[in-house]
Amino acid sequence: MTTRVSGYGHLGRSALDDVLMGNLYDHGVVMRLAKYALPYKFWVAASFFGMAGHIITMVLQPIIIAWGINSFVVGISGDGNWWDSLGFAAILFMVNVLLNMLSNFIQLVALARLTVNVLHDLRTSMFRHLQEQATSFYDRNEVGRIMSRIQNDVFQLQEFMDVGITTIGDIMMLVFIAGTMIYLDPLLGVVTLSVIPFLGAILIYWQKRSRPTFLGVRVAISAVNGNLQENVSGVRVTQSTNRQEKNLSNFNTLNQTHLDRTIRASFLSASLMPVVETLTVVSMGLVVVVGGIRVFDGALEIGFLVAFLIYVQRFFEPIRTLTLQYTMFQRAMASGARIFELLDISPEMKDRDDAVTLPPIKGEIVFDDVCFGYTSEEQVLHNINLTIQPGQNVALVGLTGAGKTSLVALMHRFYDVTGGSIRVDGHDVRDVSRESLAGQMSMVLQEPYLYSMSIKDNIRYRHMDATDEQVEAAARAVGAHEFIMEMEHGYDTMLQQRGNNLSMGQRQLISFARAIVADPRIIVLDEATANIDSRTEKIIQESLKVVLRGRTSVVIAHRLSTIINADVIVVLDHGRIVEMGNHQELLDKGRLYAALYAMNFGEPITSHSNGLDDAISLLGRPDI
Amino acid sequence: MPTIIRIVGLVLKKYKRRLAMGYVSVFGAALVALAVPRLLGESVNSVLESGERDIQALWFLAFALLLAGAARGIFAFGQTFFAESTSQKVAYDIRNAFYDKLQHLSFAFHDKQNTGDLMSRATADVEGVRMFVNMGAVRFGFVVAMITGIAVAMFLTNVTLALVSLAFVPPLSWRAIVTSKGLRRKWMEVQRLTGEMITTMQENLSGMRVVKAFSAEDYEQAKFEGRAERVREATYVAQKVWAQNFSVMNFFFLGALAAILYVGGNQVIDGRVVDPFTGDVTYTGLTPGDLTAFLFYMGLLTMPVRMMGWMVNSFSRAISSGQRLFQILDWESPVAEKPDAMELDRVKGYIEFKDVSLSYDGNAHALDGIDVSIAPGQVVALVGQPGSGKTTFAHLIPRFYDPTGGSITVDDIDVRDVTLESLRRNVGIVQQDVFIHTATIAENIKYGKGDASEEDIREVASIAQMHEFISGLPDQYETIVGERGGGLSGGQKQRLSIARTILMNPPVLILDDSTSSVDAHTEHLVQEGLEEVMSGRTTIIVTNRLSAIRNADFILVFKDGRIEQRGTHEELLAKGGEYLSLYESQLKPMEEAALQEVQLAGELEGSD
Repeated sequence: MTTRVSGYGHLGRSALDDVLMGNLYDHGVVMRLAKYALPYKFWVAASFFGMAGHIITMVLQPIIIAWGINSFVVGISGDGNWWDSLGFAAILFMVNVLLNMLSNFIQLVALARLTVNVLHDLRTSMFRHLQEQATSFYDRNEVGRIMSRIQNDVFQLQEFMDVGITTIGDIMMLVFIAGTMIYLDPLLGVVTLSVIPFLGAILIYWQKRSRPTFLGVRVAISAVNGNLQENVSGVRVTQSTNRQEKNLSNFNTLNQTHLDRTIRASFLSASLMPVVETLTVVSMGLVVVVGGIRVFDGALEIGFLVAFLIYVQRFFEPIRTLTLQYTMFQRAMASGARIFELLDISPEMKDRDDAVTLPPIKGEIVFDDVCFGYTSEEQVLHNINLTIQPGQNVALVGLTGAGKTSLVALMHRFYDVTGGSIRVDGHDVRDVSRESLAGQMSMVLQEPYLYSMSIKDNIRYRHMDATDEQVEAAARAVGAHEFIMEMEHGYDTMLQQRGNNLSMGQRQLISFARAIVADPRIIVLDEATANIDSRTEKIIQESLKVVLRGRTSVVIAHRLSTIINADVIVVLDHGRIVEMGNHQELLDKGRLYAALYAMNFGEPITSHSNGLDDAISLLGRPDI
Repeated sequence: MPTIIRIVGLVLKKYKRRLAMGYVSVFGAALVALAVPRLLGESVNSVLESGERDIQALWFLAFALLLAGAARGIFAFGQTFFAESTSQKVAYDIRNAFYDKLQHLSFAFHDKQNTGDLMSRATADVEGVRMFVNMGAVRFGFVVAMITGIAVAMFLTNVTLALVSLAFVPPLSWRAIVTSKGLRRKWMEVQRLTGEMITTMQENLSGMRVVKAFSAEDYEQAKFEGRAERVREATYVAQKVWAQNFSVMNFFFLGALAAILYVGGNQVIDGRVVDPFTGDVTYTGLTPGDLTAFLFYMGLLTMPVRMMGWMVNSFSRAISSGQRLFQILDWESPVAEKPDAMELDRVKGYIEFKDVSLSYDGNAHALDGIDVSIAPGQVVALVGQPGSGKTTFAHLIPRFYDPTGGSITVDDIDVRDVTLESLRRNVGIVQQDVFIHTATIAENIKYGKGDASEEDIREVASIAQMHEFISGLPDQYETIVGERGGGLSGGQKQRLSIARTILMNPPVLILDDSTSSVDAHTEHLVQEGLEEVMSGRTTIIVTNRLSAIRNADFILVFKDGRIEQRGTHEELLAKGGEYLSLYESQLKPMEEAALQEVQLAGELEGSD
């Protein structure tokens, strides 16, 4: 069983990851995010410029309206100020509105540009970062979990940047409106704004009360969807065990919980409306009464009374949306923290700064006293000494868990040795760049991994300069050409995800062809034992010979024919090399290899069958 | 349109009262909302009435404002709450119906569907319909009521000014609708591109070993960046269109204010009469208060006009989402119970296939001309190359599929004449693909028999050779397994599935390749346990293991959907042909391995 160790480079596994919320404001996260905006200073400046223009024009509008109204209300402003002319006010207002539109447009477009750029950079740097992680990172973290980080968390940030930054604009607008009111008439301003503390207190209380409910809704919906997904995947079991009714009642319970919570949540968010509405009219009423008295006293012009009313209206409008954005801010902070947590995991295996490019090699491989363990407690390979000559064909044999896969993973530097060294043509694999190492060493995996691209591109894979002829030649060499040509679009046939529209055997052949195009000096092969019909099996055997011809090869062998044809058979047991030689020699010895041979290598033997495992290892012990 | 009518029907069927409450709130909210600008206008006039310092009138107006505002708040609460809760209830109903429908659709349906697509229907499409119930069905009333109400109020006050103010509304509404339609297309494009980008990433991460093996990091990075860039640009384009639309709409609303100010202001001046003696001013035409009211009416109008765009969007989204949901909900399972289906009692286990054929989508035959009869208690082995039809054959008995020709009977009763529940109670199956639920091991074992006792669970676990393994776990039978729990190996999953099936104690047992990912030694042990279980049951084993085949009363050799040969192991070997070639290429090597291994293990046990 794969042991998952938590600890270094391990992402949290909490099922609540996606619903947890952080602080309203996390300085670290915001600063890191701001760094991503640095390359786009122009757009940052443009959005601030636009935002400022938008706020200023919005705040000035009621004042222009006031001048306009004053112009036709004689007896109060008298025939005083020259600017109290209706025509002038109307023109001024139109100019203001034009500027307002322009600045608003600039703000929104600049923000959009900034947001998409920052998110793009964030995504690609996450992607690059994930590419740099060692294979061990993927042993520890499920792909699903990483994917959810990238999808959900980046999405949360996107929402934050789309809406959040305009929210900051809204808040600044509130401040400016309040300031303008106090500037125009300090007394009336203060009286009008006197409801704000009440509003603030209510909002804070509401936020506290409703937060668990909103959180609960998210937890509930993820339970509903999780159950649904599981049921869809397991529908065959459900039907054969007649579980439909029980399942529906389980699902209904979750669905009902979600419904109850959403209804409660909608009650809570709706309940804010009467509060905000009432406080708005209280504020307006204060303007009418106090402002009216001020007008009577000649301390305020009637136009400004109207201006105050408009300010009140504009002041309260964004407050309702602000309360809803509160939770979004918190989620975004949590998401940001998780994204940066991921970005902060430093790759365990980087090229050395002075890594050299591996020159063209002959293909000699030397294991010099190699020790290795995935964790510091448990060592899976002990003192491996092995020299493989150029062009030699080596078969690794042993029970599951004997260390075969670890051994080849080390050659490819999926992991680094914990002791000793591995040298290729005399170069320590740690001293050369991974790029140049991989260029001369290819791995064909047990479970061929195909991409949803055309067959041609799957064969070509990284070697994009390979010609169509080369691709076809490779496919012919492994015997894949026939079935490819039978497909509707031949080499241009698009594969479904993971190559689902091909049989297992066909997928394997494509992956062989891919290795031939790469034309490596050393080939590492993890032989498959999956359900393959005997016809395909024969084709695969043949093509394997083609793939291995003239190259140094290390094969984790399961097929008897592969093993018998190997130049050297290396028998591993519990992380040690216990026997080495050719087929006949090892058979004559009558030890582990002979026992394994007796079992015909026909079966994938899992390490879970402990009884057998122990039995075989007993047999492998020299004293038996 | 039929889709929309159907959605509305869903709402009306159960939630008439809630919907009615929603509408009462909508109209109430619209009505009192209209009062606020009027009251503000009166206040301005009241302040302007020269000579009098009528503070009491101001208090009165402020109080009226408070009442109107509070009433509006309460109606707004009702509107939001009823719209939201009705929509959530409808979503709840749809989810339950969808869930239940999926559970009852036959294998033929599930073979072709992928989980991702079904999930997106259950999430995004349910949300689409829900939004429509919220926006389209309830708040649509609000938009109509507000726009009509404001128009009426304006015309009653001053026709010219009303015309000036409302001139903007039709083109703006039109624009809101058109742009939001265009925007929806753009956002759907963004979604599509995002999907592609995510797939690229998913594939990259899942195939990380290939990437590393070929050192293809740069290649993958370029591939991903290409996709991500398209997402970036498409998003930007959509946002730019939105920004353009938003600022232009704003411009017209604010421009309307300028027009009101200028046209209205001139009207006020025209109708203004100044008493030459007292200096008192009276307004015979438009009053400054009316003008103020107009300014606030325009403010009220912004929201409903903007909402027109959302409405139309929610409408078109509901049509496509509704179609996708109803497509599943209306799906007629080919495996349907007859209305007069009877209850099948515990059978003896006599199974007969009469000239059975099956073809998917009218294509090549998956099964053709199958005639078999299996006596109660017999053990039948099905062998053949992958795709030869043996699993399909086994799946016909519990009616996971229906044959396209011929008939299948159990104890001489056609399987199509009985209830699915009673049929499947009689036919237990251990499937090739074992699905483990995220639950404890005990719960997984008693999945089909909730009332099983602990002893029963232990007993079947022992038979399936699992008890020892489970006892070694820290939480034993209470260990959580499944997708989100701890992992079980393929062999353990299969043994769990065997235990689960045995627990149901079916008279007919189907084992589909049930031991393929169990190693030979364990298989031997399971096999021994199963022999005990198989006695007294009709058993059908889909397998390529000789040990199982040898114990069978007879063997059916499948090839290209037909039964090529039948007979016992010895008979078939003697005959040659398909069976012999299968034997040489697959059965024999495994047989030898298994036998020697078992002997080996036996010897070692002896030597200990």
